[in-house]
Amino acid sequence: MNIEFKNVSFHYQDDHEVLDRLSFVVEPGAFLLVIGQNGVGKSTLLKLMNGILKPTFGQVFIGGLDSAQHATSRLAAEVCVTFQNPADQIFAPSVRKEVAFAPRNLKRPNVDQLVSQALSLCSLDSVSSRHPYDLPTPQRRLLTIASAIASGAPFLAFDEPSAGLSQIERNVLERLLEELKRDRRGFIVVSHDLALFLRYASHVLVLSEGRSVFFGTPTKLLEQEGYLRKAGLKLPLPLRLERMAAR
Amino acid sequence: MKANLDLPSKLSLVFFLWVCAFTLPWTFQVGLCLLLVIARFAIPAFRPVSHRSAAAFSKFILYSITVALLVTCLNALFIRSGNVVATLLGFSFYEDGLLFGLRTASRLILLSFSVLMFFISTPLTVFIDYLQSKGLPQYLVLMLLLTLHFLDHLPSRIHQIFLAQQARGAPVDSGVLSRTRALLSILSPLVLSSIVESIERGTALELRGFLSRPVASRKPEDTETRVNLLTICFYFMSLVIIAYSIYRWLNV
Amino acid sequence: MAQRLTIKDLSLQYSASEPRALSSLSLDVEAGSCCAIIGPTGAGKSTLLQCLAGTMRRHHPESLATGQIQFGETRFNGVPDHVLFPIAGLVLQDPYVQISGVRETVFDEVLFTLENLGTIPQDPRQTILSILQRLGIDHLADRKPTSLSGGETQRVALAAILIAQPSLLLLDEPTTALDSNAQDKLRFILRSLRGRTTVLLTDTQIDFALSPDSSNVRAFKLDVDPKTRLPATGSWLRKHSA
Repeated sequence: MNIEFKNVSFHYQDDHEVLDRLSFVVEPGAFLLVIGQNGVGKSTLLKLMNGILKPTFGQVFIGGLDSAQHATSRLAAEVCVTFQNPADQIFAPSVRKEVAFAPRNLKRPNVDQLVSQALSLCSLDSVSSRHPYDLPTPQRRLLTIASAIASGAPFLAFDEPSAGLSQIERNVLERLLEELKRDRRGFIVVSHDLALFLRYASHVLVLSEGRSVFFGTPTKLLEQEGYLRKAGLKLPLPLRLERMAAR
Repeated sequence: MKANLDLPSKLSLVFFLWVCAFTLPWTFQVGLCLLLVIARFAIPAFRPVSHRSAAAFSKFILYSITVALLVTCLNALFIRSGNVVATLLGFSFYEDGLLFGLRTASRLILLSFSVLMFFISTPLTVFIDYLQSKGLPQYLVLMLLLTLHFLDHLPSRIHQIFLAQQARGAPVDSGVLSRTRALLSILSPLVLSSIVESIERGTALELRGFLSRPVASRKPEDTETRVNLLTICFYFMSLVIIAYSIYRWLNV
Repeated sequence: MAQRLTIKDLSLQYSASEPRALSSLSLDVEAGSCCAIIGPTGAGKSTLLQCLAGTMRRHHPESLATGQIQFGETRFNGVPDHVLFPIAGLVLQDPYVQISGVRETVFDEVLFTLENLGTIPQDPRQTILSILQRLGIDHLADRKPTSLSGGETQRVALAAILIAQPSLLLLDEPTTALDSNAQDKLRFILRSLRGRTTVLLTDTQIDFALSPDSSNVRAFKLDVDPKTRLPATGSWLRKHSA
């Protein structure tokens, strides 16, 4: 059960954002980190992943299903995509109901268990009966992450999941990434936050102007820092300090 | 006379059409609606400002014709007085109900058509600037701005939430019934989050000095100071119609 | 003219029945310098900025404040009760809500601030373009402000405040939506404001403020008491010597 992009190109009707001949495979349990400058089509990539957008050319296979031929609600069982703005997706009157939305829709047999597990992974069990809008913004982001985990989908895709999180919530996020890695869940994360995610990534995709300029392991990326510079990115401070010390 | 349809004259036209909607017989109203549809394509000042508003207008025409037909048919079926106009599959349509339905439908359509026409052909920018130049209190302008923004962005917010629901396995993409159910379930959180956002938006405008804006910061242009002939024309016709209606009402 | 910002023993409750959102905060920011307020959620970072911008009393009239805020010669007991724009300019965290929606281009959006102030210079074009250029968004001048990405929108919002030349610039988590390139630009802007504008920014992470690239930024840490989960008084942070 892989996610496979086969020579995928995409452009909107007004041609303003373009992905150009992308090919890559994400295997079960892998962690793909997608990086690139603001506005290179990273969010578009996520929408292609569950069939909300269909490729203009090429094909996307989700667990063997061609995204062009299956409804998003079907593909959601294989990959759960979470968008950037929590306000655009939270709608249930309580935290618990919000988290239970995906497993109910996907008719998972063990809804309660999935929900409780997701809530405790995100340290939200103490607020599970609260209204989502009573939570501070960073916790609302954790809520969207919990909702995705509870879906039980083998692949989870996130758009900037660490944006606006303070150190406390970042610690929660790191803990849950480690936990889910053990469960062999696959991740696709679009983010600027190399400091947090580079450690967990098994593969990195560097996008520049809609094209893949690098696809490989983080170690290889660090050896060839030129690729980062090409995409207009810089290593995060702690990693830079580490490398300076190593030299 | 140069057909210079600026914002004040458009406003006066809307006023005139509303007067017509409440006073004139329904045949006139249907005629005015048709004229409006023609105007949307023929007169530059009525052209929609964007593709989105053009699409909204076309959709509205379709919906309103459907609603008008429905209202008329239902009235003709259930208000059983006057002659039977037609019988179809055993159902009889009555004359009085038919006329009543036509009157109601044409009035509603003219009222909404005229307002819609105004908003799709007027950029928000121009409208807000106009209100400010007329000295409307800044606080009211802010409220109006936030409301219009809220209405403008409601469809795209609904769309976003639907996308997020689909991404979590909701069968939103299958059929009208499930879509309607899904829409009802997100209505209250949608309004709630929009209100929260409106407050933020208001704060942001306040933080840029919007509320303490000097009243005459934009110099009124020449065309605005000179009252347009068309504007006078529309208001005058409105007055005549109102006066005539009152006269007839007193003499009945 | 840059001015010194002194906060003395500032405490704030949103209402009498609520716990303190700021607790005996004292902070001294030199004229024309840049200070980053760092701390976890709930430490009162945004609250502090709202107090300084003057929106706190307007939006929470029942709030209670003690202590003093002094900016230059102006002194407030508690917090100011009116918006201090254009003396203080606050850029909010969510970039999208800061686009007015009543202007069709990025250029006009920035001009809109000047219209509000009623101080449109003879040649606004030059002034505005140079601000856009400094923020690296001059190529967006003719774009529709609602069609931009998060990072781009954030810089437009910043431009719309900077154009008013506030002597106190307040930035609420400005690095959230920015990639490292854009963060570099932000550092550059902050450096160019040095000596002219007193800057206070908040950040949830220490990376930006403590990076050797931001040598001119001092960092002040607001903390939350681990037991009570209430804000504690803050302290200055020392830098890495990288």
